[in-house]
Amino acid sequence: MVKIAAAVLAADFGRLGEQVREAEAAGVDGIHVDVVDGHFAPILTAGPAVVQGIRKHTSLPIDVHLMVDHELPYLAPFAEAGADVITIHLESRDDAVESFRRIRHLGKRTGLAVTPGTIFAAAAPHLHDVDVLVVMTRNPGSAGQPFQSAALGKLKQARAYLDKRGWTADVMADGGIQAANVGDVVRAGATWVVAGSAIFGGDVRERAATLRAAVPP
Amino acid sequence: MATRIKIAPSILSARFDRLGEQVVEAAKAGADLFHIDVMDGHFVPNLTLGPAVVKSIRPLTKVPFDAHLMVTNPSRFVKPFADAGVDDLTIHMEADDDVRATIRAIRDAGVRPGVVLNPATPFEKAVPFLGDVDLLLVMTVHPGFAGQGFRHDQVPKIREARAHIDREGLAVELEVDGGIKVDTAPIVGEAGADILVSGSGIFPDRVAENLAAIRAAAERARASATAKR
Repeated sequence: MVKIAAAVLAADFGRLGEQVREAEAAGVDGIHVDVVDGHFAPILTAGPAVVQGIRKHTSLPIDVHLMVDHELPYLAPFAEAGADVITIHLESRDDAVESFRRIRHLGKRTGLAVTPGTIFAAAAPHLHDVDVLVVMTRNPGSAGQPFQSAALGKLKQARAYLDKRGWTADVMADGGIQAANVGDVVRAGATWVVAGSAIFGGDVRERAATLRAAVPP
Repeated sequence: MATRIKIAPSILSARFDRLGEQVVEAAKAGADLFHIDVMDGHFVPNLTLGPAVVKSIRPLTKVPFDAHLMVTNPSRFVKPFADAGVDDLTIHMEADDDVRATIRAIRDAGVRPGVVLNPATPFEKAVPFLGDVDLLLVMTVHPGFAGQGFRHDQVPKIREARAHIDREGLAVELEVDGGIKVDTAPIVGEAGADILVSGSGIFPDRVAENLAAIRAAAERARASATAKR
């Protein structure tokens, strides 16, 4: 069964605790927090205080997606704020191996994200070290731009690579996922999908149900 | 120098799971503006919030939003924050972008511009820009984290700014941010601040009580300072 992570960047920040509870009640499987520093990608979003604010409202795993130039200084603050999974970008300026080591030392699960411009082969050497591979299906910070269907090929490569080795890492598709394209990413091999505006911005229960119904069995 | 002191609660110290409720509570308690700390993890070693947060809380109150950009490239964020509904945008003298061009971009976006001085930056650095801004923000902590102690060594800078603004007859509000609570508010009020930013001095609990106490303490100190002059 494919899992859905609700991205709070699309939620109402005036009542974030309530929105997270609504998402959990609507049956999502995780909460996704986009952290962008305005340098790695041209938007600014949220910091550890936001994660801390939502932590007590849900028992679902919170995955923090760090779209920052330098993640190393932020691993401990997000771990302390209550993240369960900390995802870093292969394209950041810090060393991925060192970041994974520190994330594990903090007792958290590791995630590795790749932007649409990065080929799968660049991520492959790290997959033994990660719990989740996040394949961006849209450039970070480009909400409103279309889903990049070219990323489907990367999802397939990732799935095949992991299956061949019998590795159990999750493959998460993130960016512009809606009921209309969720089937494509799941068939390509995603085990998690991130959904922002497909969950928040209206009736959470109804939206989550619509998205869930579009997921192939 | 105005006799009434404005109080700007900083939402960074509010509860982020019910920010709307906290904002409405502070607005009802008489907050004059809301201070919004924006950090990019480069200019300062912390990450806080962006335009999406501002946009979510904008419909909840008519109280002006005073956004403080602690980012290395403030010019990139003028439009996103203007679109999200801020009323003031203050930029650091120590940031990388051209100060005058950024002030103009802020003004063109229909937002009140201001400049900010870190503790290590002398007042003189801001002087060439004071004719073009509506706000001068003097930091009384090194920016980055909420809850730091007030730096008394910055009080002479507040006095210097106050004297300059009055002498030149400038239409610039003097704002002070960092470690302001009921015990330090009188120092800042006496030194001549028009706007006091307070985060953990006001949020998250007993918001109305804290806000009233800070205002009373600051205004009492200012009244006695004015009487002495």
